[in-house]
Amino acid sequence: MNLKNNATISCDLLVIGSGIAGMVAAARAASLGLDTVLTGSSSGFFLTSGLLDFLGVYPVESSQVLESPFNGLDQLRKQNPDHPYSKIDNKTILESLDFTARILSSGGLEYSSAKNTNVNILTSAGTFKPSFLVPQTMIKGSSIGSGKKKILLADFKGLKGYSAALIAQALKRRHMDVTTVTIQVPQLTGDFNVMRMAALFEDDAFLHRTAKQIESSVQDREILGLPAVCGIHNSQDSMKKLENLTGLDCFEIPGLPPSIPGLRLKNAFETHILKNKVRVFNNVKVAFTAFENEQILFTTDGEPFRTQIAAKGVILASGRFPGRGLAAHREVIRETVFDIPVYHPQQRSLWYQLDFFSPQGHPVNRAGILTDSDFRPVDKTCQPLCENVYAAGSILAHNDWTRLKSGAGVSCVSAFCAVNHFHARKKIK
Amino acid sequence: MKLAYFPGCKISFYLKAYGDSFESVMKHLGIDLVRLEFNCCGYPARGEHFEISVFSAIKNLAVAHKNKLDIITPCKCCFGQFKHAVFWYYKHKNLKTKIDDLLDQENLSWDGSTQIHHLLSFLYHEIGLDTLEKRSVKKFSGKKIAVQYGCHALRPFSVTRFDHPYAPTIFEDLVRVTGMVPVEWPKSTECCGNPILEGHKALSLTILENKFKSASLAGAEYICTACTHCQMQYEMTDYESDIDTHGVKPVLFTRILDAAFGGKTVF
Amino acid sequence: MFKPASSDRFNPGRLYPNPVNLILSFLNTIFQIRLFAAGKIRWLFHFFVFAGFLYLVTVHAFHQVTAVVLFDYYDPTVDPFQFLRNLFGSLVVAGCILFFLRRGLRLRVNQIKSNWGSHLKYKGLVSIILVFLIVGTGFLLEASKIISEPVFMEMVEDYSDLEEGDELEELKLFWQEKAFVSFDPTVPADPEKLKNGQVLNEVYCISCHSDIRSSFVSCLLADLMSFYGTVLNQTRVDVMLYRVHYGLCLALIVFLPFSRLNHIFLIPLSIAVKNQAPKTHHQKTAQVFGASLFACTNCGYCSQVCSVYPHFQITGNPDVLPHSKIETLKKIADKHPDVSLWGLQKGNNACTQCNKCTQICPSGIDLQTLWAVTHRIFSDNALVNNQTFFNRILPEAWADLETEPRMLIARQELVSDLIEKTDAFENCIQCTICTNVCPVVEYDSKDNDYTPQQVMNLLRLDQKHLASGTRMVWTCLTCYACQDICPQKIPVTDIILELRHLGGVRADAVKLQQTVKKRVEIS
Repeated sequence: MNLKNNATISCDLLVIGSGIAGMVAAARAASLGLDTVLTGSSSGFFLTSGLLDFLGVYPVESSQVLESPFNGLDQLRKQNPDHPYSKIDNKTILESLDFTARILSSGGLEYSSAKNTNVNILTSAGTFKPSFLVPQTMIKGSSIGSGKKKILLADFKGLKGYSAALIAQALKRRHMDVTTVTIQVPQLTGDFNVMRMAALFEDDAFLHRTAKQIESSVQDREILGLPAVCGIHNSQDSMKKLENLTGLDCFEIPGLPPSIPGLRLKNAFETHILKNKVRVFNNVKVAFTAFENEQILFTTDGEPFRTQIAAKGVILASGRFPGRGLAAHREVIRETVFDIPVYHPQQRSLWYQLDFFSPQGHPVNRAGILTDSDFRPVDKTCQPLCENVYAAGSILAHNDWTRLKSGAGVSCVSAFCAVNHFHARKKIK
Repeated sequence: MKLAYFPGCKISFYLKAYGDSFESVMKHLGIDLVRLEFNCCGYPARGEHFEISVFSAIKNLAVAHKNKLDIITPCKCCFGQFKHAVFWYYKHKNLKTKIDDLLDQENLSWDGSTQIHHLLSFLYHEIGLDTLEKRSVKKFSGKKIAVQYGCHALRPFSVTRFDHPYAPTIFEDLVRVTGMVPVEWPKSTECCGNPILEGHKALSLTILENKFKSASLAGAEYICTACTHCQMQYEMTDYESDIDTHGVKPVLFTRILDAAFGGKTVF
Repeated sequence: MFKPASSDRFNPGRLYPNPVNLILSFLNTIFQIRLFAAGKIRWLFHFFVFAGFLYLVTVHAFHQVTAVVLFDYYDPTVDPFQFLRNLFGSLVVAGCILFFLRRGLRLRVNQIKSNWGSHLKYKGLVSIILVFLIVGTGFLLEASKIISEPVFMEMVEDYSDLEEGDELEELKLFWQEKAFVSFDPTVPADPEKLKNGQVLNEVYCISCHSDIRSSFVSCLLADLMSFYGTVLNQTRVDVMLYRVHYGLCLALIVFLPFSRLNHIFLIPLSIAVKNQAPKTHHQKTAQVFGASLFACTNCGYCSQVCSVYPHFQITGNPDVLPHSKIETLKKIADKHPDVSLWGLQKGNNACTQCNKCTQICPSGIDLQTLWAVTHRIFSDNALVNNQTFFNRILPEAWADLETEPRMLIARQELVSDLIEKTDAFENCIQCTICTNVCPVVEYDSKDNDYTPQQVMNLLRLDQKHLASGTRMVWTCLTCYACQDICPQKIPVTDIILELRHLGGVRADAVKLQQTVKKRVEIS
C-alpha cells in the first residue's frame, strides 16, 4: 500500500464502507473476478451483536415475531413496495445469505440457520430476539425457547455488564428451569474487559479450571449459557472443548458492546477479502471528484500522498449516522459522499414519535437513499443518478432495521444484488 | 537505482549487524545506497516536543530532496515517524510556516515529493516477490518462523499506508521467498514493548516474554523482525537472564535474506 | 561486564588485539589520523603546528640530548639545521595564523552551523597565542643575533685570534655585507677587502656558520631590523629577547597541564583507554576515564555531526550539542560553583546515542559512554527526566500541584492542538474498544490507573492536568492500536502524546521552581 504521491489506482469496483454491506459487496465482487477496492472503517463491527438478522418482525405495529421471515416477506412486498426486500425474489435472498455464510466460513467462522426459520436468541438483558444466521457458538441456545430445558447460566466475577442472575430472573418469569453459577477468575487483575476475558478462552488450562468450577453446579443441567466471550480466533474449538469438559451443550449469550462475536465477524470478513486480493484502505476517507469518461473519480485524504481512485463502478455502503454515511443537520439529512438526495420527513418535528417505544417506529429511521430495482440511487425524477453508482446496506430508505430486525439481511442482500447488477451490466458492454 | 539510506540513530552502535546485512541485501539487488547528512528522525522527541519531532523529520526529507533522492530505512519507527511528520506538517499550518522558515535559513526546502520506503514495503512493491524468489539461491525450507510486524509502520493505516492494519500480509509473503514457513501468530501485530523499556522496564520485559511464549505456542522456531527497535527489544534476552524465550530465537529479516542470496551471513 | 551478542564482532574498539591497538594509537598520535578523517583542512593547520613545534622542541630546544648526540657536526647555525629551524618555525607560524583566521572568521567546515556557543569561541586561544609568541620571539631572537655587533665581537674573541686591525675590518665588512651584521660605524665598502674578508670567514667561521640566507625568515627580519641596528645593538635587544624567549618556553612548560595543550598527552591516553575498555550494549557499569574529558580541544566536529542538532535549532539550548555539553561537564568535574545543570539535563536527555560524535572525535574521547554516565548526575528530584518524575507522583497529587504561571509562559511552543480544542475528543462514546485493544491495560493490570477511554473521559470532564499525570499516559506504548480502531476516529494515541507534552512542560516548570528555591535556600 506504500503508494507513490498522487498515484492513481484504477479498479472495476470501489466499495465505500466497511460494514456488513461493504464486506459482502467486496467479497461478491472478488468472487466474480472484479478488481475491487474497499475503503472505510471496520471498527463498527465491535458494536454489532454478531447475529445476522433477516426479517424478525412484520408488520412493525404488530410487534409479532415472525416464525419464518418468508411469512412476512409477501406482506411486506405488498405493503411496502419501496423496501429493499421488495426489489429481490426469495431465491436470490437465500442465495445472498448463503453466500455470506460461505465467505465467513472461509474466514474461519461458522454460521448456521435453522432451515429458513427464525431462531430466538437469548440476550444478556434476559430478552429473546429473533435472528436468522447465527454463530455456531450461539445456535444451541435457540432450543431453550421450548421451555423444557434445564438451563445453567454462568457468569464471571468482575466481568462488567453481564449478570447471570439478571438473565435467570427474566427466564424464571417465563417459567423456565434455571440455575446460576459465578466463576472466579483470580488471575485477572485490573480492568476486567471482554477482550482479556475472551483471550483466556484460548488457553486450555483456563477451560479446565472453569469446567472444574462449574462441576458442582452441573448436576441435572442439560445446557450451559455463557457470556459471548468464548475466544476470539478459535471460538468454535474453545466451545467444543468446554462442552467435552463439562458434559453439557454450551451456547453464548450476546451482550453489550464491545462485542467479541462482532470482532470475530470483522476478522472473518477481513481474512476472506484479503485472501481474495481486495485492496483495502482502512480508515481513509474518500471524496468524490468527478464523473469522467465512464469512470468515477475519487481522491483520498492525506496530504501530500493523495491517491486518486478511478473506478468503473461504486457501491455506496457508507452506513447511517454513526458511520457518517448520512449527516443529520437541523432540518435536513445529507448523504456525505455524492450528496444524493435523502428521503426523509419534510419537517424536523415529524422525525420522531414522542414515545420512544412507539409501536410504529420512528419515521427518521426509515430515512435513507431511494433506489431503483437494481439498487441504483435515484434523483427526484426517479432516474438513476449515474449508471454505475449503487447503494447498499443501512443507508437505504424504507427499512427500519431495529424494529423489523432486518439490518444484516438488508445489508447482505442489497450488497450481493447490487454487485450482481453491476457485473451484469459490465459484461454486456 | 539510487536511494538515500536512512539508518536511524541506533544501528551504528547498538545493532551494527542490521546495518551490515541491510547494505549487503541492497547491494545484491543492485541498489545504490547514498549516505547523506541526516539527523535523528525525531521519533524520540514525540510526546516531548512536537516542533522538534516534526521538524527533525522534515529536515531529513528536505536534505534528501536537495539531493533528488528518495529515502529508504530499515527501521519501522523511523518510517512511521516520517509519515507522521508529513501528516502534521500539512495539517498544522503554523508549524509548516515555522519549519519552512528554519529550512530556508539553511537553503533547504521541501515540496512533499520525497518517497519514504521501508525495507519491507520497498522489497514487496518495488522489487517484487518473483525477483526475490529467483535470487534466493539458498532455501530454508520447513523452518517455522513467526513474523513481528511492529506497530509504528502498521498503524494508523491512514497515516502510514504500509499494509492492512489488522490482517497484514507483506512480511509473511516476503519470508516465504526464502522457503521459511510463517506461522499463524495472534500477537504478530502487537507491540514488542520497546518504547517503554527505559521508563518501565519490568512491564516492557513482561510484554516481551509474552511474545516469546505466544510464538512458541504457535510452533515457531524463530521470530523475525524488520525494525531496529523490535530487534533490540528481542535481544534484551542477552542482557536479562530471567526472560524465558521458550526456545524461540529472534532474527533479523535482512540476515535471513542475505544468507538466502548467498551472502556472507551464516544462518 | 555484559557481552553484546551478534554485534560484538563489529563494535568499534574491539576490532584488533591489544598490541595492534597500541600501535594504531601511536600512529594516530603522530599523524592525527582521526583529525584527518574529520576535517582535512584543519588537519593541515594542526599538522603544521604540530610537526613544526615537535621538530623545534626535539632538535632545537633539546639539542644537547638529541642533535648533538646524533650529529657530531651539529651547530644551530649549521645547515641543514639552520634552514630546518626556520622552515619548521614558519610552519608553526603559518599554522597559528590559520588557526586565528579560522576562529576569527568562524570558518568551520559546515559554515551554516557556525552560530552556536559563542562563549566557546575564545577557548584555547591562549595556548595558540603562547605557541605563536614562542616561535615569533625565536625568529626575532635569531634576527637580533644576526645583526648584533656585540655578539659578533664575542664570537671573534672566542673563536679567532684576530685583534683590532685590517683583517678584522675585512672580516667585519664581509659579515656586514653577507650576514646582515649592523656595525656602528658602518664599515665602508671595498671589493678587495670583501674578498679578503671572505677568505678570513672561510678560515675562522665557516665550520660553524652556514650561509646566513638559509635562515630565510630571520634573515628577512634581520634586514628590516638593521634600520635600527645601532640602537638595538646598544640596548642589547638580543639578550632581552633571549630572556623573553626562554621565559616563554618555561611558561609553556608550567602552563601545559592547565591549558588545552595538555591534549598532547591526554589524547593518546584517552584513545588507548577507549580501545581497551570493552564496549557494552547497555552501559551498566560504564566507567569514564576522568582525564579524557580534558582531552577535548573544542574543535566542534562532534556538534557538526550531532543527530539532534534540530533540537538545538528549536530550543537554542547549547548543551544539546556535544561540544558544549563537555565543557559543562568539565566545569562540574572542576567543581565550579555556578554550573547550570538544567540545560545539561535537558540537553543530555535529547541525545539519542547515535555514536556519530564518538566516531568523529579527533581526540578519541569516548563520548558515547560519557553521555550515558551523565544521566547519573541527575537523580535528585529537581532534575530527573519527566518519565521518572511522573513515575514518582500520583495523578491526583499532580493535579493539585501549584505552578507559577510565569514559568509556563516561558515555554511557548506549538502543539498538535488536540487538547485545548474539544473537537478531537468530544465525540467519544465511551464504547471501551480502545481499552479492550490496549496492551498496557492487559499487561500492566496490577498498576494501571486509568484506561484509555477513561483518560478520554477525563478530558471531557475538563480534567486535563489530572489526565496528564496518569500512569496510562506515561506507560503508553504509542502502538496506535486504539487510535486506528476507534469507531469515532478519536486520535487517542496522539492525544495521549500531547498530554505527555502538557505534563512535561508543567513538570519542567515545577522542577525549575524547586531548583530556584534550593538556590535561594543555600544562599
